[in-house]
Amino acid sequence: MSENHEGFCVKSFKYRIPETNVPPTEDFDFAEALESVYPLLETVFSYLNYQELKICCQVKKSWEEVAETVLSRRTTPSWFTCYKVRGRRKNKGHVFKHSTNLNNSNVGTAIILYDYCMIKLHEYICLHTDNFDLSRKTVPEYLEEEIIPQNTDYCVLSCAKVVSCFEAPKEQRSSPSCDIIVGLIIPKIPNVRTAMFHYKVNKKDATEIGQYVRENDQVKCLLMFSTRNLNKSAYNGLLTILIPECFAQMVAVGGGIIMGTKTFQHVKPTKRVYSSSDIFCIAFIQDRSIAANFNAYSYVILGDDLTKEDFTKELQKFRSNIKLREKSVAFRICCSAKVGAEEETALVNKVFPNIPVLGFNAGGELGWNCFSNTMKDGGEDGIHPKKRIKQKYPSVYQQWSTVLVILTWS
Amino acid sequence: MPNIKLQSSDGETFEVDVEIAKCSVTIKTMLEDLGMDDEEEEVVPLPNVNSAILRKVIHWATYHKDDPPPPEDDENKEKRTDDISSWDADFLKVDQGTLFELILAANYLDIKGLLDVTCKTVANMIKGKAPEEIRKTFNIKNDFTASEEEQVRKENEWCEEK
Repeated sequence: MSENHEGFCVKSFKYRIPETNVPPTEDFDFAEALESVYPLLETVFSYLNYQELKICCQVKKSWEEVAETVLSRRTTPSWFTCYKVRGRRKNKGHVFKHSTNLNNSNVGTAIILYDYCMIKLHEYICLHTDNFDLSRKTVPEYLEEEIIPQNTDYCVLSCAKVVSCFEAPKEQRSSPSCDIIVGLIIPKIPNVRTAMFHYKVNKKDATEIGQYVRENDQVKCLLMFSTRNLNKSAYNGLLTILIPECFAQMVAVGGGIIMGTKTFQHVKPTKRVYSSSDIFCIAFIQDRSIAANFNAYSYVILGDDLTKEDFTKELQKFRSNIKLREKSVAFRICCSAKVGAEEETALVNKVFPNIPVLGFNAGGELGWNCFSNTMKDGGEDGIHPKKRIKQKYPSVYQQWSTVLVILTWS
Repeated sequence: MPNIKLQSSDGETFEVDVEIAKCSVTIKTMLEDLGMDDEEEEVVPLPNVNSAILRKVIHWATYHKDDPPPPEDDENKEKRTDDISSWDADFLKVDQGTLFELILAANYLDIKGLLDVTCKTVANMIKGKAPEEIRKTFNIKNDFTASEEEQVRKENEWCEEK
């Protein structure tokens, strides 16, 4: 492979497995012996990554059980990002970073964003094989092969500008740089199900949604993405199906206008053609009868001309009104026309340290306020207390704002 | 350096430097709890470890006596298995029975470094293999019925063909 390739290489974080040959011993059953002394098999399995454990599940029944146990403990979200570093020739290039648990973490849902304008796959990703072949591949195809396990719900969204922040910026990125491709992998959250589906606005079809959101389900968070600027009634049609009016403000809602979607779903219903007026939804769902240590919050920060301090204040207000659990992820969707939003993601990261923030600028942002903690006591701070009395769907259609959604669980 | 005597399950006694013996948390605790005096000619019985394995364990501990303590485990961080030193790799050129006895001894004596490296070796025997190859390596009988196997394969499918 050419050493001058500026791109990152997804394969490079997959390390080599040392050749290990331990010959069997006569009249000795190694596998049985390992299983007979607890927790030896678990200890061995703790060295295996997600894929390898998924393979162990298929070896024998007892291995399946142990492998699932080991996986169920890996509950920290993982992420990867590739961004371009401008600046002087020497430092120029593309940086690929990922969390240390990228291969390790349990996988529930994965959301990948990439910059619609910037992406030229063969420039950014080096495949160690034929670059020509790579240039004909789409980003989703490549990702499916290299990063995302099959049989998980995951989606790839292309948007105007990706601005994410997964860790406190240790070194100041020299000049403003943009993420080219980022991914957030959310582990399986206990007692919470994720559904990804397309809602056909024109048909107002509730039956298909019924496959994903069942009668006893309670949607706790709804992320909506569309490629077209739809009118308000389109969203309201969907919200009416998914969220009973009396619960409206107990459901976190966020989303925005993006350039395109591609989904890879576990549940593959009849193949269908998606139209550009579809709303692509990611719903985090809880069974009404089963308690889950899971909360979702959303907040719309209004105002185009907020200073850094104002924005931080808003974030702190949001933070003081919600209860963060052990693990959290955040989404930030901002109006692409907003001025001075460059540093917003970093500010979010400051107020919510150690929480990966997946963010992008949208051609229109969606969301409403939901702080379920403050709902009952009215919220001293009085964030739209009046709306609470008038039990109606708040408007999801926002302008000049930043929508923040936080999922938190333990 | 004061020495200590360790007695294997089959009665053989090994004289070892106390500091080396103390890499076993089990022995360390035993010495502290019993308040063993350096001058006493006490013998520590290790009824769960035979002489062949104890000899190997002491050999390992002697080589690794100056190692820094192994890092704390983090369930959410990927643990590497490609960092086994060449000395350890040579040391672990054994058969499955011996490897298992070393794991047992490391587990019983609570020697984290040895347990780590032995378990890593087993993990490396699993890595990069398809389910059938793993069964072959460990001589495991497949206890899934054909339909169960199809089901479990579907649920856990990933790059089997790669």
